[in-house]
Amino acid sequence: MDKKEFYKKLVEELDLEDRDINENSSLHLTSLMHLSLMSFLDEHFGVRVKAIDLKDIDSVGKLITLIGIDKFK
Amino acid sequence: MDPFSLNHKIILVTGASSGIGASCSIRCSELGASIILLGRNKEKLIQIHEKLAPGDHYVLPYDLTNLEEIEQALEGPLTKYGKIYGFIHSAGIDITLPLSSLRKKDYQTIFTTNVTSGFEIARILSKKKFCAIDGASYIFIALVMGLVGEPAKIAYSASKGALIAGCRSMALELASKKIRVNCVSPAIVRTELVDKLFSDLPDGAIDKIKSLHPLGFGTPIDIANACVFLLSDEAKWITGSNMVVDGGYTCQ
Repeated sequence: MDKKEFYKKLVEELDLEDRDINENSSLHLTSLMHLSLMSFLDEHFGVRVKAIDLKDIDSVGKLITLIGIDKFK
Repeated sequence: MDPFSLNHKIILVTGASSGIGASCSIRCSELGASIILLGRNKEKLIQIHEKLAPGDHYVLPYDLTNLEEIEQALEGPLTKYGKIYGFIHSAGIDITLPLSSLRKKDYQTIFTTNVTSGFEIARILSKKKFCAIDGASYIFIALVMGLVGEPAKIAYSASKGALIAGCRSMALELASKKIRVNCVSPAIVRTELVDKLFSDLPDGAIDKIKSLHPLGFGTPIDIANACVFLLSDEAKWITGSNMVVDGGYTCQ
């Protein structure tokens, strides 16, 4: 998946108000969003994370780092 | 005589390889019952079999997501024992996802194991040829989430609520055969699975969950004891009920 597609899917998955996101966009994740993300990352990237791993994720960039930059085209 | 004696009674337990199902199996065997242990993992079932009180028990490895062959799978124990007195449906899976992430397959998966497989076994066991002449007792392990809500538990709580609702209708339908049908609804019980889930939680989260249980977390034996009561003749006038065993969780 390329980053553009990732941003689009992430907006959909988390139902983000800001529809135009990029690496520098901030994220304010709730515990429910953590659960959505855990499922999303597993389904689209084969990356299994725990809620605790998402605790400090406050930007799209940090999320990309957690997923692994090598997972993107 | 022990009023809760289960001497000479045959009891089928699903989800018997761990947690509440395993504890129910062990407790019932201690009270004299012969147990049919049903679960996916043969090795784990054998481990539980070794913990049962001496008796004529049966290990039945089977994956309940396969609804089509349940009757065939039960042929072995039904041929061996003939009449089945008790059934505890403890098998269950949990899906913790918010509404936005739930898909059709999630609902199908959870309902197949948690609800449909249990009702399908009840259908088979309640046939005249398998039902003990002096009646039987079926117990479905539901959960307090079948009564109260929790975010991200929509599919799971729907399945447990379905057990509670279905149990009442089943009780009415099977009363003429002297089959009693009840649910037991625990709150959080410290099983291996729960401990594993807890290990993934951030600091403070476990204490917060614990504070919702005025009597603290439960143990599998707390639920097994409730099941023993409902299986025993002491509960012969109880059917269609949902016994809440939750350390006070739903009092609030």
